[in-house]
Amino acid sequence: MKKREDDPVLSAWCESALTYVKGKRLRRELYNELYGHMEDRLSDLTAAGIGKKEAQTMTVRAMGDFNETGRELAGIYKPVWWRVQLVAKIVLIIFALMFAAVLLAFALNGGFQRPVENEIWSAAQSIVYPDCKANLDGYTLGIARVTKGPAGTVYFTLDVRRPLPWSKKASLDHGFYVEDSRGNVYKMPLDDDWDRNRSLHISYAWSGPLTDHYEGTVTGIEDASWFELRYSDYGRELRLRVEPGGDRNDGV
Amino acid sequence: MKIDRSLIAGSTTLLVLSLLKDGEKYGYQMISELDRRSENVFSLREGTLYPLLHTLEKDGLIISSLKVAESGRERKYYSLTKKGAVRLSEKAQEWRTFSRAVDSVVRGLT
Repeated sequence: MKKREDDPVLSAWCESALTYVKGKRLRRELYNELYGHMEDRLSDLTAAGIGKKEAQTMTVRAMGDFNETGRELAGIYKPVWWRVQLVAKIVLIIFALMFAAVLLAFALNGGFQRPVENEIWSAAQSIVYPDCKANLDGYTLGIARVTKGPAGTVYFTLDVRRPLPWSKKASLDHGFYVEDSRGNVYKMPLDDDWDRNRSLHISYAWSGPLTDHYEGTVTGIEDASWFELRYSDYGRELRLRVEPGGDRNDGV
Repeated sequence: MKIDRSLIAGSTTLLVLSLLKDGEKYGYQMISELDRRSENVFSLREGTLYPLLHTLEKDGLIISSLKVAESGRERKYYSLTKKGAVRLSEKAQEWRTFSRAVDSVVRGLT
């Protein structure tokens, strides 16, 4: 920017003005232009017989306030990155506000406590029982996952592995019932003494190559420390117990 | 006679574009020309010329080119663009209308 032979008074005015401007290359270009102007003025004044010191003072005075010039030039040449930063900051603030609004709405609606109603197998509410299995007539039944639903409802998945790939699908529409730790019994709709307030429903979901999957629902179950899915028919018995911290199973 | 700066402030764009109508000029040359043509009525603070020139260039009304001066330093010359010529014409017309109106009001009062 400043050359060794530059007049120090003129140079000082230019450099003071350009402290407001960002960018080395731009400052160099503007310095050359401003200094060139002042150099021409100084040259004319000294050629007119005015002493160097007075000519320097008159030149600087003619230029006016370096702060004003510097700020105006800086305003014209705001660097691109400054604009990008400003836009980025605005976008970030908007996203932060949106995120905060979503979190607030979520918290006001019960937030992380309430499970989503149509996703009963939400992992946060489920307990998995990998070893809860029992055999019945060559079929291996297992309760894979239990989820507590709203208002005394418990959901469970029941996997039934067929003896052979071509064995027919097990019929689970009657004969099964649930009993809990309080002695309450929950029967299926097709069974005698079915109580709609305390009931068991088992419905077919889908089949794999060897295993059929069912979804079970127990309604009206409350304050039970465990429950058992049972089957009892002509001496054939099955029990699959579900309880927190462990599982037991008995089967024929 | 010292002129109120606020009267000059609104006319600087018109003055600068007018100075470039006859050909390219550099900053100090424009200031000198302005002093001469206005008989020293218009004496801008010379530092404020350059923000104006750079703004007009950014707006596409003037264009610059570098030439080497006798001192060996590069000098920036400015010239009018087509857009600048159109703007000059508009501003000149504006000024004529304005000054005629002011004149007739002042003549009427004095």
